[in-house]
Amino acid sequence: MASKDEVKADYESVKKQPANRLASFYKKSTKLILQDVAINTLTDKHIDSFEGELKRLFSDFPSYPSEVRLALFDIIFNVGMTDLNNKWPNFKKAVSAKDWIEAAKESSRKAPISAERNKYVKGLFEKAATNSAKKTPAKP
Amino acid sequence: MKIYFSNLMPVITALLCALGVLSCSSLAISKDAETERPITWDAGFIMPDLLASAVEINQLSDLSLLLTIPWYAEIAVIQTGVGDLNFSSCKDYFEGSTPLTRTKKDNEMSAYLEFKIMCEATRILLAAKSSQSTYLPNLILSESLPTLWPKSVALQTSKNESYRNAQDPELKTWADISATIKYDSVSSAKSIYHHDGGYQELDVVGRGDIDHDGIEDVLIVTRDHLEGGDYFNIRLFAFSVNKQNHWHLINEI
Repeated sequence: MASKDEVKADYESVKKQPANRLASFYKKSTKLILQDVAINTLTDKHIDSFEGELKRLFSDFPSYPSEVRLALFDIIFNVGMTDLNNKWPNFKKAVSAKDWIEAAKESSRKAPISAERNKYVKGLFEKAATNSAKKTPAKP
Repeated sequence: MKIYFSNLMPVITALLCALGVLSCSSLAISKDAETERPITWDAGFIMPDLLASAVEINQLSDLSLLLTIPWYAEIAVIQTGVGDLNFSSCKDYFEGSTPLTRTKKDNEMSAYLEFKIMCEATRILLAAKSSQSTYLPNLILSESLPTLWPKSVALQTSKNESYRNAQDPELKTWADISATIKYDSVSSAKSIYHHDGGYQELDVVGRGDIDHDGIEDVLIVTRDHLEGGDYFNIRLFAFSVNKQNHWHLINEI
């Protein structure tokens, strides 16, 4: 278990290095290793934080289909709450209205987000729309 | 990194004017025209920092060395013209990349973008010519820049909203899309523009006649960050400005 001073020393050492280099570039500046259990704890903390933010943006978030919740997690992890709240008006409107087809159309992010990741998120909304249509009984 | 002495010409001219050696009208002329201005590179040009070995760049032709010297590490990429590859120099990048090329590991994309944008900047500087005249201010990055530069500079993440904004004739400038809420001038070649939800770090990469019209242009890199999200992008812009202080975009990568 590292001391606070050791953690601080590693942090300061990395902070002095230029940003946006490959992980191998920073290896010479660190002495400590983050254990998997600590990484998982941090990840869970982030997920909890994003869930809280999504509930603030969409009050019905807990009742959304699991595919929609997954898609929203992916987007908020990427763009953050403020950007999602302020710069995605049509997407937000579609999600609030539970119009998953429209949300799918509005869900794509610009480069450098990959086409595959956009396709994955769009597919989640489309799946929710299909499932929702199956559950809604046809009018006689 | 060498900055050509011709950058000092306006200062020298102003001193001569003050001493009465030159007339002040000649000072006005020298700002716009007459003197050939060589290609220069600035602190934002970090290609030498991305290489495995140190290289001294003393003149423009030395820049071509930067295209072949190995990077500090190789990087595995996908979606090239010929499948999966490892890039370890700008030469590899230019020979193998396509607009869709990305890193095999998602968390290496930011490092790849640094390589990509600096390789592109190197190539642009190598293809640039000395300019016959300039209307560029000495200090490019200013607080008012978002009201002068086009809307395409703004950091936008939604593909559809970005498209709508591009089509909207009411929206013209960078500030029309993202109003600056805080401005930090880090140096003469670096400024940070904060907006609600994120910030853009702008660096001056270099100057020269990029579009070969005789007028000096500037190469700028922007690093786009969002608060509370991992989205990150690096973009390269070439701009020019005319006598009326109207800026226009020459190229964007």
